Amino acid sequence: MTSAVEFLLNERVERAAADPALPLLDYLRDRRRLVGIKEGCHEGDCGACAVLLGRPGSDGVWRYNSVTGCLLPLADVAGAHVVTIEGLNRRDGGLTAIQSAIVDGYGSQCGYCTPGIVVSLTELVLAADRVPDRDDIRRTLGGHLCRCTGYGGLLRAGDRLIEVLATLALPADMPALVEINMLPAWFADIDDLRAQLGERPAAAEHDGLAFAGGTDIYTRGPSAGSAGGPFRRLADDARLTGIQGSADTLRIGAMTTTRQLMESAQMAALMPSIATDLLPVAAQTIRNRSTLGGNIVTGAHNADLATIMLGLDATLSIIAGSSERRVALADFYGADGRLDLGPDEIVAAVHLPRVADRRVNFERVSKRSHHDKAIVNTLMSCRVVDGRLVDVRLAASGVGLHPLRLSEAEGWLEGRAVDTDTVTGTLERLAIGLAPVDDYQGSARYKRLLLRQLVVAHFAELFGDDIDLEALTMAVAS
Amino acid sequence: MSRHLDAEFHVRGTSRYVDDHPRPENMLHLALFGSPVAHGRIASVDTQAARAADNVVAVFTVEDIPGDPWHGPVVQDEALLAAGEVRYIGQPIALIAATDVASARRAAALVSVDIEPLEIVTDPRVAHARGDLFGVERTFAQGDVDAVWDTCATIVEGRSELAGQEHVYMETQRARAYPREDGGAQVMASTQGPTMVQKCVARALGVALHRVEIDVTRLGGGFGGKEDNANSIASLAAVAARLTGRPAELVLDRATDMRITGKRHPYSSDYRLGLSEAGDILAFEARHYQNAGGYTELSPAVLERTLFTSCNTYNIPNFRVHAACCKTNIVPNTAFRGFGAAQGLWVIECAIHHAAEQLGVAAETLKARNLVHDGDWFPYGQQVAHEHAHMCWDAADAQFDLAATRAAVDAFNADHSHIKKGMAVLPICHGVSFTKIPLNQGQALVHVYQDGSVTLSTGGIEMGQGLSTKLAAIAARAFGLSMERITVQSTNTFRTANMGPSAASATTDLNGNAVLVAAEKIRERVLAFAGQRLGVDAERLAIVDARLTCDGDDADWSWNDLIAQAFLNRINLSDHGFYATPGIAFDPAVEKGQAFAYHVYGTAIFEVAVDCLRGTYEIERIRIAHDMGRPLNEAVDIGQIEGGLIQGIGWMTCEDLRFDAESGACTTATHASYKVPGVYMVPDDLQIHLLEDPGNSVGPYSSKAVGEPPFLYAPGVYFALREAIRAFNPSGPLPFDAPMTPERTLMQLYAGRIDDMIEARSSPADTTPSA
Repeated sequence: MTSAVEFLLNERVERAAADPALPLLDYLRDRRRLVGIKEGCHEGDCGACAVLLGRPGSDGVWRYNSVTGCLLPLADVAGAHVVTIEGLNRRDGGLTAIQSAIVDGYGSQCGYCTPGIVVSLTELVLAADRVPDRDDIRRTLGGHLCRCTGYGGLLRAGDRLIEVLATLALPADMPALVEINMLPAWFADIDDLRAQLGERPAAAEHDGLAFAGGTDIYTRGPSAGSAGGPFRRLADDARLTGIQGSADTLRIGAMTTTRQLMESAQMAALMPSIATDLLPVAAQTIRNRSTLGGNIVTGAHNADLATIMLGLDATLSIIAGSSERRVALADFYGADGRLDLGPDEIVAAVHLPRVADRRVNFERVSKRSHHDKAIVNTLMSCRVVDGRLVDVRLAASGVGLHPLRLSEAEGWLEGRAVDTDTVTGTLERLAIGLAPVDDYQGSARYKRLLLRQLVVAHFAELFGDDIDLEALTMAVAS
Repeated sequence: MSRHLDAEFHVRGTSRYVDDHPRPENMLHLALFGSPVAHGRIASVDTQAARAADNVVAVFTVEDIPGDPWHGPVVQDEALLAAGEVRYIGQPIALIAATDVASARRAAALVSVDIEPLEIVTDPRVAHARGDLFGVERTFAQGDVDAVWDTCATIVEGRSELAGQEHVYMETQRARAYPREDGGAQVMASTQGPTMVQKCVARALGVALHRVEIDVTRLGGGFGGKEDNANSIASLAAVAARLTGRPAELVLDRATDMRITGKRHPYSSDYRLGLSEAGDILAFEARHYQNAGGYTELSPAVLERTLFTSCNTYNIPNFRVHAACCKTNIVPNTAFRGFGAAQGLWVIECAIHHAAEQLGVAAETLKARNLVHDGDWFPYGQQVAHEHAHMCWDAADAQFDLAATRAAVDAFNADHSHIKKGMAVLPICHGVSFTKIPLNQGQALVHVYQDGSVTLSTGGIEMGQGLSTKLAAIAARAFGLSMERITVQSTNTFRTANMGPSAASATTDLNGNAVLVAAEKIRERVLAFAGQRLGVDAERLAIVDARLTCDGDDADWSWNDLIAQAFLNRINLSDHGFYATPGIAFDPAVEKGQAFAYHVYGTAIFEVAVDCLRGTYEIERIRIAHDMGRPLNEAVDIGQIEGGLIQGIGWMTCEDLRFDAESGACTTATHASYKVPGVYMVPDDLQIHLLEDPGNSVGPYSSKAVGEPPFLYAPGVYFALREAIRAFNPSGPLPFDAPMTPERTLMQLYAGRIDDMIEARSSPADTTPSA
């Protein structure tokens, strides 16, 4: 299926006559022979194919996110602005300050990962509303694998960049960033360029698989060509976007990205640790695309967002045509592995109740500390009333077919005092009904032990002074 | 200091890798169909459906190969496309050529094969017990271990299991071949060994070497994975080009690359170590079972390196180490930075840590007292000379204070019950030279053009290690020019013949010395010409900053004018340099010889913190005192040290390469399942102290090799983690198995108690809280 997709590609309007399901990476490299973009894995994991994807937000302000071209269907760039490494080069052959920082920091060895890194550092510079620090640099580089591995040089390059940005009043507009050579000159006239883009056509409703951010669907198919399609693209459905709060609930649109969730003040009000909790979850290039709804509907056995929402007592709003129904997330995942979701139904939003004085803790362990799938994760939320635990929710992933609630343990905890015996009783009830599997992530035995330890960690984090950690970890020395 | 020569192209995305070059008209794209099983006899292959698929031009099997399909760097025992038998999953059986890559890959899935299954072996010890070896078991020995066990005050023995490692070069295997009019081929390859590729292509096409041109601009990472893996990829492209008469390109997708290409060898080893009362190593005995995979590949050479490095940097008067390449049904494993050395070093380090734990002493005290001295003998019959082991150890101590580090770790552990720290000191010693002596030769072709610009072609491959930058620096220094006047050309078999692979950390030494030879010949002719013109003895002349000087004073002649005049006067402005490492020899018949030109030494200190609740950990600090000789480019060398180190740390921690024992399938053959280090793995506190000019008479301008030695530090992180785990769980018997994943960490923290901890108590009858 071929149709024309119109978008801005660097300094020009591009009309791509291709299958809208074709990944942007394949379009750029294979069809357009823009070869600065590299293919490292075609599964969103290495960052070599990063491009900037710019579009106006609901406030009309254009924002540019670094995303992996391999998981991005052409259809999703319609009406957007794609900037590749070619668009970040000065026409006179000189280097921008970002490029110079990498050269001077010796942050490039074989060079294959380098163009993608320049793209992501540009994302950081474009969005900088304060002088970044090393944590920001690491977050930016987090999705870029450098096997050589020049991370030390790249961190030093980041330090140089920080020095340059420190000379500027932030946030800076495009002309100011051009002026200090962070961007090539054409960015100064970017408004004129955007004006050349025609009205974005309303997305055609297609039958087929519901398609949100593509970060799962596009890792399933063969690495060449399209991921299949046709897709029913959800990106343009306004019912699925936005985060709105009322007095007693928070409504989070299903198309909210992991990044938006991390950076949402409203979400942070419900769960103050959300930004740090989600930092190890995937790379920024993926967090820029992966969605809350996608995570919930994919329902991977080790899903992170779904576990968090489960532990926060989420209710789903599910739509089909103009009808809407609500279902508790806890009931959405059937024990037989099936989802409570009809073929025509779409998860539109997640509703979280606001609970006063709730305590929340999220734990996860992965093989690589960051940018890796959880082996086991768990969220615990509760209130303490008169020294007793109330409204206890204990959710976990990695130990069953889908994210699940540990109801035996929850039942035990409800109404009990916060003490070591209570925790011990919880641990004794953890294994009931769980069926972790042996796989490349770890043995079932390990996953059981890990879940136990992470539940102990919940209590250590939430009630450190009230429990005897020593006794709970059965200090082997004793 | 000069910049990395390629970096300006890299940051602009204009560096060209094989498939970035403009595509020729009518080029075909190739894809492979590989064996679905790990061992079996092929009854039949059905390619009908694939041939009939859209856009497919041809499908080839082994019968179509015009020349000899058999290849291999040591023994030619694998066919480019399987002939009769398959010995690992993914072993190529058919080659599909189509007009676009998606069609080729889709058609590959349409090939079917009927295979009569044979027994699958994945355990090297099982293969060894059956005598299924590549080559013979080898033994390095000195002294008489049997005679001294009785005199040892302490003896420890044990076993270790060491996983392999996937290269994950960011650029997967690829090659583009153009047919030549004479039946040969011109191939743009992503290879560390153009001559190896040339030989493999020539054999497959049935032509002599002079009809096969291999050209390599650069690699998007190699690390050993493109030393030999690249041969078959390029040869298949060349075969398709020859048979179709059209250019043909084979680019492996990541999953295929990870599934079918050889990796670092997993090892299983037994060891026995004996110490005197005072802690001197009296005897060491070990046996290495190398998991070689389905075909010989480079396994015997890797095995040899294991034997060479089994003593690491210690004086071991009585030594006997056996090693065998065990034939199994996983991918044929191959070179990977460290090339068997890391596996050899690992086992002696395990043994020393084992002994230290048994004796209740810090392992570093045992290591320090057993470092080699000049005059000691390495077990392979080379006497220790120009030893810098103590210099590095002492520099590490002086810079970073071992005793204070140790005291701080102990104090922290006394104060904390659920975070435990660990430290380990890891000294290294790496012999530089190919142990296959004929490979120790380098060549360079140097041209000075009429405008004064200079170009170099050598047998070395730029793969990110900064070779071009170093070669240009050497030429610039020899000519008295700035780096901007020098370019380094692609590596090409028609400009340089009979190259060794870019490997063994020796590339700069061999090719840099050759550049020096060629450049000095040209310089001497130019200066002789200038002397004749000026009527002075050429000895008094030099070129400094692109100007002629006489007795150090400017002679009013620029390099450009001088070269222009030299050309008009028919002075030869080109030359070829040849360098063969002097004084090395090794006789495998007796396993003795002066195997190495020199050794690289270093000492690393690792400090880690383990979260004993969750089984996770952080590397807090790494400090290294390293022997670089006199660095050619310090920033490039630091990049190599950091890079090798972090790559090694990945091998020791999160890179969890797994094969299914029953099916032989690699179960971690995707980026999603196989995790290489990311930027969070690098501690902010990573300090590298280069020894101040310890000198090296062999390397160009007294530099030392840098590619592999820093990789060898990596086991230090394992031992630091182990120490922290033991601080929490001192009684558990802990195996020496790597990598130390979070899973292993947690399981070791609670070893001995896990059943009690995870068992569900089926007594939740009373679930109502008491009032």
